[in-house]
Amino acid sequence: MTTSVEETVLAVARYGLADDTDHTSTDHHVIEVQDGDVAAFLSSIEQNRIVGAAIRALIEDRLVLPPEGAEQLVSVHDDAMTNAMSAEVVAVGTSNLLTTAGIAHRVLDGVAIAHSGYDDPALRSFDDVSILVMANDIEKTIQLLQSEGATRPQSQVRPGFDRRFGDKVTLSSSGVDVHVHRTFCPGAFGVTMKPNDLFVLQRVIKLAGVHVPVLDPTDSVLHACYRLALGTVEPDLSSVRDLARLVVAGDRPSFDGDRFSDAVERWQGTAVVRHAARIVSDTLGLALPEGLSFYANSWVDRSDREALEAYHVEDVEDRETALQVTTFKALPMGERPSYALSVGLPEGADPIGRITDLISRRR
Amino acid sequence: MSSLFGNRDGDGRAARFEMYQKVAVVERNLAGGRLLVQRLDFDRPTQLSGSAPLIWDLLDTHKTVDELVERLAERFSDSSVTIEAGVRSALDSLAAQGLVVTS
Repeated sequence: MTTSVEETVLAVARYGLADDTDHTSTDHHVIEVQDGDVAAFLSSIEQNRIVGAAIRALIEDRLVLPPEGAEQLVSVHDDAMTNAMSAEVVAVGTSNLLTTAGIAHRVLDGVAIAHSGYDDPALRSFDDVSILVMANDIEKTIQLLQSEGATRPQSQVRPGFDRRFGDKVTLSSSGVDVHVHRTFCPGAFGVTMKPNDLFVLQRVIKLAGVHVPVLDPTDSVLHACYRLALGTVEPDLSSVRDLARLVVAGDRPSFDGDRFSDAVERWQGTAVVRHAARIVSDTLGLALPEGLSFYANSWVDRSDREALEAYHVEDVEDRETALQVTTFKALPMGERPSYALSVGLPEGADPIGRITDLISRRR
Repeated sequence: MSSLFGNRDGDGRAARFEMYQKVAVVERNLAGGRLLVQRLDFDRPTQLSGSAPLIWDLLDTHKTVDELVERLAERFSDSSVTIEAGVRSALDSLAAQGLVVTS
């Protein structure tokens, strides 16, 4: 029996991940939520997007909630799946559109991992769509989606920025956010990664009769590492579970450790993978497979450490500035002036006002 | 053997030799054996409950009322007449919601 909401939520996050022979795992114990903790428990599992794991544990009699709490959990899961399906419908339509237009793409994140990383997509919550396209296709992709009714809330900072420097462009389609990615992330590690590597191999998931291309299993692990290590200041437990599923309980037979190591080296991503591996290990207490435990214990040089820290600055504006600085440093010399002009003086900005703003932020 | 349909009677509108075809949908399993399905051209999903999720799954391999009844009779203790009434009712409902088409 667990003693706090936090421990209970972590036990749910671990549910279904451990090896069948690991009898110390949560899977063999009952997770109990006390009457007074139900609201906090439900709020936390919803926030951490692990409602699917909780419902699986409930169905398998490994999670005990007061009857009213169980009903609420079912209702929360119903809502989460309704949202996931809305996003999935948009993902299928978008993928179909891009395929018809001859644009190579990979559907990422929730849609992809729900269908390729878990034995039942009902275990994974999501409410948006992420699609990776090649840099040269990003403008065409955005035009195509806009021609189909998608809207872009934030315009491009300067012509060519999306293709040259942006990590993603967010559009809204049928009320669902569609993130069109050029790279996995902003910042220095977005500069050093080689997104075209991800178009060499692919896997296909079939949704509503449509073949939707997603990342190959090894590339999926890379993506899960980048997302977990760099996606948010405090990653939700769903992102932790995703990586754990892929390396501990999921696609192990398809995971190519040599190709993974090669990519990490080429992308200069050791610090990213190390950070992600440590989060999984520290949060869930799972033994990592050799391919990942190697990185958990690896060395990281000072510049990579600084680059990594930029992603974890608490204040949003300060984080954006820190990421811009590390991006600038990671770019080739020839591209730096154009990048500096784009982020320093976006198109349409008043130069005097911009300079005043920058000075005031310095203070 | 358990009872699938209880004493519910269908209205028998579906023709015996019609072939039923699922339309393309995305779907999710929900707690309590329910199923959420959504057509790509619909804004909202439809929730299937009771015997509908089972019949929905069987439609992947069994296309006519007779085939469905025969398959379900192997699993449930209800009479063929009762099962057929339930199958017809479920298929009518799925057709009315635009989730199956007949040929």
